Amino acid sequence: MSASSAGPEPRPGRFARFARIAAFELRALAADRTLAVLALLFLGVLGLAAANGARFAEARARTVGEIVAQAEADLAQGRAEVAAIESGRAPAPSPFADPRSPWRVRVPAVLPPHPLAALAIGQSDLLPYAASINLFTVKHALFANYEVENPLQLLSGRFDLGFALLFLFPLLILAFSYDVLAGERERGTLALSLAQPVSLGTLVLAKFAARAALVVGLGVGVSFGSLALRGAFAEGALAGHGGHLALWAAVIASYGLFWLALALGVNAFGRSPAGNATALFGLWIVLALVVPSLLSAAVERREDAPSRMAFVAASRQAENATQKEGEKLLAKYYFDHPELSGEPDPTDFSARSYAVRLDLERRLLPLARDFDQALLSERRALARFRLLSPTVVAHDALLDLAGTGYVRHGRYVAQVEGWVDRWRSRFAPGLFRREPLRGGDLATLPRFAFVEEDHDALVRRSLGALGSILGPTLLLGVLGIVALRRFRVVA
Amino acid sequence: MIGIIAKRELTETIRDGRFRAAAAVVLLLLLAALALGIAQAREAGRERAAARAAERAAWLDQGARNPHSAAHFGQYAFKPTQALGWVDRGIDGYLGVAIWMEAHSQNPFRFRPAEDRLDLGRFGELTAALVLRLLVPLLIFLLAFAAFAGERELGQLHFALASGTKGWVLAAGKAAGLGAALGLVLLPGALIGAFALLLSAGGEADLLPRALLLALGYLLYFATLLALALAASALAANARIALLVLLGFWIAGTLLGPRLATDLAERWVETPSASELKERIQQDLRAGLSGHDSEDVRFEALKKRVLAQYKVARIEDLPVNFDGIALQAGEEYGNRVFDRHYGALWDGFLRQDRVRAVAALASPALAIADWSMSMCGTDLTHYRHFAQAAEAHRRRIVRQLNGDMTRNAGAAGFDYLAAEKLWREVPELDHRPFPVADAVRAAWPRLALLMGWMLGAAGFAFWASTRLLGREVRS
Repeated sequence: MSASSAGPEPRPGRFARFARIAAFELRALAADRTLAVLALLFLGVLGLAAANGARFAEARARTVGEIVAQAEADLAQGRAEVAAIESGRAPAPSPFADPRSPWRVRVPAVLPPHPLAALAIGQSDLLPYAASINLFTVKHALFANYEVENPLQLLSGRFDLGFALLFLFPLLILAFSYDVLAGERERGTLALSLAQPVSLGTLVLAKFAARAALVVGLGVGVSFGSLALRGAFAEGALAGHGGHLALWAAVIASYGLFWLALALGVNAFGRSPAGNATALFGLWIVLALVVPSLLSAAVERREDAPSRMAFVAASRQAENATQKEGEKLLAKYYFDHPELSGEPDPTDFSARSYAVRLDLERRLLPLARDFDQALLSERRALARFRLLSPTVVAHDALLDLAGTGYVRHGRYVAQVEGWVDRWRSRFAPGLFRREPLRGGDLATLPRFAFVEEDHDALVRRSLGALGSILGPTLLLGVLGIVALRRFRVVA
Repeated sequence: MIGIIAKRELTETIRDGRFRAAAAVVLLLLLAALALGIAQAREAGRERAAARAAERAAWLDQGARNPHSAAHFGQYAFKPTQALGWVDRGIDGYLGVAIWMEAHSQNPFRFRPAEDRLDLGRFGELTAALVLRLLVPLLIFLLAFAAFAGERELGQLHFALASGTKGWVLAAGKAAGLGAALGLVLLPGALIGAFALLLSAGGEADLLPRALLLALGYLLYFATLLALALAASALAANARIALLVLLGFWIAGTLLGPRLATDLAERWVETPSASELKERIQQDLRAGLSGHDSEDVRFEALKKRVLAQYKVARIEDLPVNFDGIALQAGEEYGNRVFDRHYGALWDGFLRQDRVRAVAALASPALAIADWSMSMCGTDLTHYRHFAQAAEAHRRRIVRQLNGDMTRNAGAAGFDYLAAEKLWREVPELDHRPFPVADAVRAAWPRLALLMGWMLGAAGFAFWASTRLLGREVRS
């Protein structure tokens, strides 16, 4: 027997102790029947939510496809009619019904479903996603084809993965972590554990680390699992979205860590298990339900918010005014565009309509912008209070990543507006020169294609959101550990 | 005996710090929500009145114009503010604020307020209804989860039953005491509500019955929850399990229930998308409802009929303007097409609602949500009534304008200009509020469900309380 092997076994390092406790805790959690049932239940609920989200996303993709197909079929029919007229097989119809009139051509401008849309339906059931653009399209009313949807369905919102993760996931986490110390103290095993060479801080952190690994793994695993089950990874549809997925996982993880840190803080106060549970559930109600509705009430309740009814009234007056000036507007258009080198023809219905619509837009677009502006300032006001509710922050971040939030939609609307300008500059001159379109023009019509945001901006926003969640998490964690010093190990 | 138990329960509850804190939060939120709701309703009323006046002014200010051009200008019908919308805003935010009534087409509601709002809307708007449906149930569960289970753990239940008090007497006394404590929390809200009602009364005769029926619904709901909580407390092994079961019930009912019902409803009853609806309507207008009755065929048949009616050979020889007749015939045909498709759409919506009603068998939260919206006048049925009134008005004014064209346009046709006198003759939409009797007729299954739930829960609590003694003896 060598001298070196004599004496007491070397004490394991701090990290090894930590890892050992965490591993034991994981085994203990796995053996807890109630928690296992809860986790299974949660898994089932998440599965249902993921399936629901996928169903909605697929239905939306189908509708978008049908809209585009229908529009293409109409265009093909227009081309056939023009070919027949040009070849003399069909007579030239009246100007009102002539498929060669520049104002009659229309193309669809749709917002394609985002590859991650199935994860969170968000606002996508509420906001318009398809416009049909022709020369008469005005920017203050891009989406004339108003979506019909049962308002009660819209009010309730949909049961998707985003909802389950934002609201139910915290409850599961709290169920796992409301009784980390109190129960052990009541049973007297806490004092026994601390008789070993381990500090209370290490013990608690290890217990929480085990829980964190479990619940975060569950939340992230189900998100990715639901995508994998739909074959999203296999089809390569997610190519280029790896960063989004990583950020999604990071948001879920940090959101989960926030609730764990909250539980740590409450545990450190040393109340009974029942007291902890009540306090944590109360905090969940406040942070996830009460604060968001208070925030939206406070932010939206401002005197300068414009009213849609007033907008309608203003638009009617503008319509009257432009209608009366119809012919003058047409003359003005020719005056403003000397390159058209033509004379206004008062019987030219299409040119006059176009000039009238442009004038309407000039009057009404500023009013329509007021709504965007009000919404923007509400968002800014909200951003100042976002630290008050990590649920709101996580909600915005998840929708943003799934492409169903307001940022992507705002980009879509802006791009459609830009498209309207392009369309006008291409087809309006022909309208005023009274030049019919030719078959060749119709064969080379441009198509609207939505351009996704570059990754950097989204990454920056997501990192901001992560900071807004992790900041309070860290603070709570530190406060919890400090409070642990005063924790009475024996009841 | 019940009175003594009730009194003791009430005193104990009021002394409980946790209850006082929770009750204060709920009461504050309730009052804030009421104040917010009343202010918002007044503002909405003002906005609507201003918009209506501006709309009428714009209509009268058209100047000389062809009647058909005026029919295209049309009128806007603004969604009415409902009598009790300040208690429960219902679907208000998710339904557009106005319907455009124009020639040739029936239109849906436009401009949903929710689209102009932050995407926090679905966290729940802060309304009195939200507080009553989301937070008061939690308060009830907090009040009652330990009623039996807590006393059992402390050994007090044993003594109470040993004194000969029957289990159901104990339950009835506790229910009365806890109910009284809850009443103390809700009373200020109810008083403010009654006061606001008095201030806004006068406009609508239905206000009082609506308010009473609304209160009845909530009372039934709260009684159901109290009874369920007492039953859970009597049956559970300990207070913790009772609380867990009750919270699970709350999460499933109030948080998951409405969303699951939405998805079920959508699965079972499909409604068309806007583009589908438009395409179907266009299809029927072009090819005819029978599919063999195209626009051209209809036009030729009409021409033949009118020429025969006036016994002339050419349109130019008609004593009336044929454009006006053709336009009106187009409208009449279009109306049949709209009746078919919009009728089907709204029927689909209402069928989806019925799926929710069936789901309310599993969760009284759904039943009270629907009943509350209905009594506050902010549900689908009320707004369908308004949409129907607007559509009837649209048809009336378009008919009137086409009639003027037929009688007076003569050979000038679409160049004929009508004077301002005609615009004044066209009436404004006069929408009568939906009578409460009709609202009850449409929504009574919800009230019946709530009663059923209440009776079932009371029976369950009675049964559970009669088993108290047996359990104590065994343990």
